Amino acid sequence: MNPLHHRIGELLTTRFGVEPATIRPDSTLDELHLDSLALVEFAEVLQSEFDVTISDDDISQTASVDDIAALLTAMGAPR
Amino acid sequence: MTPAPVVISGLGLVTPAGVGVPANWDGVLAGRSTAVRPPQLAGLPVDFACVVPDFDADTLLGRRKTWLLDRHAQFAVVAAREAVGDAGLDIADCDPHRIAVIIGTGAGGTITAETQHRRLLETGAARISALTLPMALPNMATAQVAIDLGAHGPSMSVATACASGATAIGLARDLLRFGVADVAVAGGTDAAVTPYFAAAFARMKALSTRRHDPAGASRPFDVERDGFVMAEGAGVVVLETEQHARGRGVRPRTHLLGYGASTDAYHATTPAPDGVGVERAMRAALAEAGLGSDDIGHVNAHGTSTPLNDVAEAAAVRRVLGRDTVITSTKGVTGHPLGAAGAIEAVYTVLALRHGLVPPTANVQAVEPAVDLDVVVDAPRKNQGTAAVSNSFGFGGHNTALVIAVT
Repeated sequence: MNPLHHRIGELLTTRFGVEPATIRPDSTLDELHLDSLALVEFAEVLQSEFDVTISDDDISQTASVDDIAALLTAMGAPR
Repeated sequence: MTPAPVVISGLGLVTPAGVGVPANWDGVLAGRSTAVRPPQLAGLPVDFACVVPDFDADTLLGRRKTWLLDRHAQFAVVAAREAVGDAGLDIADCDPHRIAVIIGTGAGGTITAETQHRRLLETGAARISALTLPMALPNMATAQVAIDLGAHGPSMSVATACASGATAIGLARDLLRFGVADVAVAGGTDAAVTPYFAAAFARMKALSTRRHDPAGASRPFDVERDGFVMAEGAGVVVLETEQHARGRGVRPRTHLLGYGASTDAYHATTPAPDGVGVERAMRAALAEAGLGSDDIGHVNAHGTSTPLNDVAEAAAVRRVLGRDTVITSTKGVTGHPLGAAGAIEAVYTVLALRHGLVPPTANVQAVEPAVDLDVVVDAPRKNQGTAAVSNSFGFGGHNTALVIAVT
């Protein structure tokens, strides 16, 4: 995992209490037990942490950590 | 149908005197105020309050749960877990559909509501949290306790302002008495030491303005009392039908013998003259318990430290139980934890009966002459008698009295 993956994992752990051991690049948000409300919050956290414009419509519960990292990179977040 | 006897089999507390029952008992016996100047009240006309010290929700409950819960619901879940553990109740051994949950609250999730409202105004509708309502609605402490325990029986939140915790215990008892449930997890919670509540209470002139001496500000029954000191916390009890307790091998020692409720229907905030509503609630509770003044070892007063409450309550207590009545207010130590007060003080009343010690009222230097009761001051007093009364009243004119006995 690259630093961006690590940062996403850290946010999932510190903000949402996801067990670090369960976070892999291919884990989906659904598998990490983020429900639809949590998804809205997660988008908000990504937006403020990475200073990008992201809405909850941009990510789904089937998105993986890899997908999120790719999305953030496409939006200009530093790797 | 004869109402089923109801026992109190578990206790849980989160208050400014500490997290957990043992820390609380040490704190109220020591009789020292817990008032501080919390950072969130800086710059306000009244900038002191009693707050729960070192409440680390992430450690107590785990981050996966805490980020979904307002502070008032976190308090309730922590207190409920302690109460269920204290009762030795294994939910897996019970019929979960026969476990009720009733948690009262005065303010609900006001920290969340205030934070998110500020965000709405400052950053717009698109940025407020999706969790705003699941954290702020006033039923959510009840809901989160039910979720945490897996309790599937009837549940509700009640709001009778500062009587909410006692009303919740009384209503829960009624559910048990009349066969609706076997077990009830009941109490009150509030976490409203916020700029909004502090400013609004200050505008009502309800709060003490003793800014030079926060630790001396909550002084129930003292001549120099000038208002209450805001506080936060939760108290939760496990109630059971006596039959259910015996059925799981517990020999119940603590009985909830009486619950009385009345309404002043007089004024939104001023108590009815001479405490006539309070008197009715106390008489109803004692009649139900079948007890009189000789049986009552002490009264845990509502005793807010406001000029009006303390004399109106004292007048009612004198008429119902007599001038020799031993009375204490633990709000001298804890401040006034609003909707949690009635449940927290019900727990203190149980502890006083079990330990045979009435905790002192903090900060009393000279008892207000109009109180004219035997106020416990300075040090704990030996409790005489096996029963006690816990009074709680709320803005709106809601009066409750609980009669508790320990054998």
